[in-house]
Amino acid sequence: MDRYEGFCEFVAARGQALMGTAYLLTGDRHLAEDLLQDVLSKLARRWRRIRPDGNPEAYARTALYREYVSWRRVRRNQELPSENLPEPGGSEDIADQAVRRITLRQALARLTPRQRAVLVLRFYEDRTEAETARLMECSVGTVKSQTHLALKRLRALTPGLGDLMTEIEPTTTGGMR
Amino acid sequence: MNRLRHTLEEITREAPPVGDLAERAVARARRRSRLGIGGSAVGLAVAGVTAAALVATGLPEVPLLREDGNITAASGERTGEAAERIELPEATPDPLPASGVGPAELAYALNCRGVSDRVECATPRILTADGRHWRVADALPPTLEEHNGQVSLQRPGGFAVSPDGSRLAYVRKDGKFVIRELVTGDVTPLFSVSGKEEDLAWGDMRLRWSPDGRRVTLHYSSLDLDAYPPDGEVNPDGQDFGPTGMLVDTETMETVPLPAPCCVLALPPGDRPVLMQDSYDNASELLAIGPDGTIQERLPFDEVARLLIYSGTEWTRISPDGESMVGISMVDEGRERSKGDTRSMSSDPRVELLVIDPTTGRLRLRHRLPASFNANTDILGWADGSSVLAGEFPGDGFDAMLDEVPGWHGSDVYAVNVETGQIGKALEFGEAKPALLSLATGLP
Repeated sequence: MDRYEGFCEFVAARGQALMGTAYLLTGDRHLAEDLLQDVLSKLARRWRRIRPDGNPEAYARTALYREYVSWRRVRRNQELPSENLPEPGGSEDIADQAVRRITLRQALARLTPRQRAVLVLRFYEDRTEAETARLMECSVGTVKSQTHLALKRLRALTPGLGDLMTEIEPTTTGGMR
Repeated sequence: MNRLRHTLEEITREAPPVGDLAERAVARARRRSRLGIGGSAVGLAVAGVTAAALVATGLPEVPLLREDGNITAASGERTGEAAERIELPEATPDPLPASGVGPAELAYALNCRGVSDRVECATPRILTADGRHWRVADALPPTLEEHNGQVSLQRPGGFAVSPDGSRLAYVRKDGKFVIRELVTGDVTPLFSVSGKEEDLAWGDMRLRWSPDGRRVTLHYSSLDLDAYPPDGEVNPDGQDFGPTGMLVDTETMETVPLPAPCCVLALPPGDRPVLMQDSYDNASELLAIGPDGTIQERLPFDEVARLLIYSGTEWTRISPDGESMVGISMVDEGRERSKGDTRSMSSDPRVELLVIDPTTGRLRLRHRLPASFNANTDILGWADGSSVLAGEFPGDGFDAMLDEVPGWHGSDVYAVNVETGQIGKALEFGEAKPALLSLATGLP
């Protein structure tokens, strides 16, 4: 039996969702590709061992976050975006979906990798604080602190997106579910 | 669905297509499997070097990338004497007595996989000049974490032996940063590393002695360095983060807070400025920090900052005379050729040793290291005025957990001549490999 049997099918089925998360984390198309390829390479090397457990996606997601956070030292020197954030306009301007998306994406790029990962896990994947802590190999207290700091920084960077933060603020200490 | 999540979801739609990533991942996995990368042996297989040549010399050819960009081949001949072999005992050694034990040749921590009391086993240790191993029983221990039924070990808190081996700097279980005189046993507590015990164990501590042993720096965080705002904000529990780094004069034991949240790149001898890089707000400047902790000068550093893969004392070292600094870079040749972008690790990146002028921040030389060196390569110090010691360490958590190797692999130490790029094995370890290693490089 080919030791990689079923691997390509798995990537075909779940790869795009993983790529979406990688892109959210890195904010860069090339880096998202790089990150996912690193993770998939590790997954492939261990495919024979992981596959019988039946949940390669859980493995891949765990690897994605940890690999990404382990990149933080690598990317510290390069991650400062060259573009300035768009000037926050009035609430009507920011209400525009495309502008909000661009603004949030650029604001995410100004967060530290760990803060970005916490936000994606908590508010995109709806992970609880305990799950987030387990995935990121840190304590629940760290998750709380990082979430608090990430939201605070997002608010400071993008005053026009304050309504987005306000919506989720009450849940940041109690878990999303 | 709240609007934040909706907006995040919209952003994911901008992600690139997966394309042929699966095929590329399998190809890479097969290649790595063939080369033995990730296995338990030190694999120095390099394309173009025959197995016979490797057996004959034990070393690969090392291409040398000169400052002008031309690559010339430098043969990987042994430099100096044959590698020294050190056996590190898995058995837990006795704790350091209150009295002195003599200077240490090295300080280290093991992974201790399979040992019943793994935390105690993985507590930092020293090897003294008389060949005895001692456990630093009051040092901050490592943390065990269970994930999917597998237990991984997080690295213990910072510790480092002084270049002359006479002192050990480390963080104690009670959060105090201390300096222990190994000859007399005297311990000087200096300051508390803020944070709860639980968070201390996860801290990211970076410790560095100056080559003359007169000064030491510690950068630390009870959570993560990333979490520290420069203005000392308060976290949700009301805990003041406090300073994130300290400079210690080991003659007067006076401490001075360091100005930026990260990172010390080099601690030169004498009273020369501490060299830092503010990797968060302006990585393109090399900061020269005076003895009072203020920024004295800002040097252009963009050329090197683009290449340095890490900011931190594990990956940069200043020479004993303070005239040269080395750092680790990672270059993806394919991507560099096509886009001039050295950030990516999309194929098989190559690790380079950068030689930097610490007075100008300019790059002097780049030496390509053998393929077995990876992003976990640490610079352990200068063997002498012309060679640095580089060791490959496989990481502190996830990789080790997944690889399921019996101990840490690839932890031998190589001496790299900074002028010629020639490389030779300087230290090799027996079955037990160090997970963390600090060398008394000033000892003969």
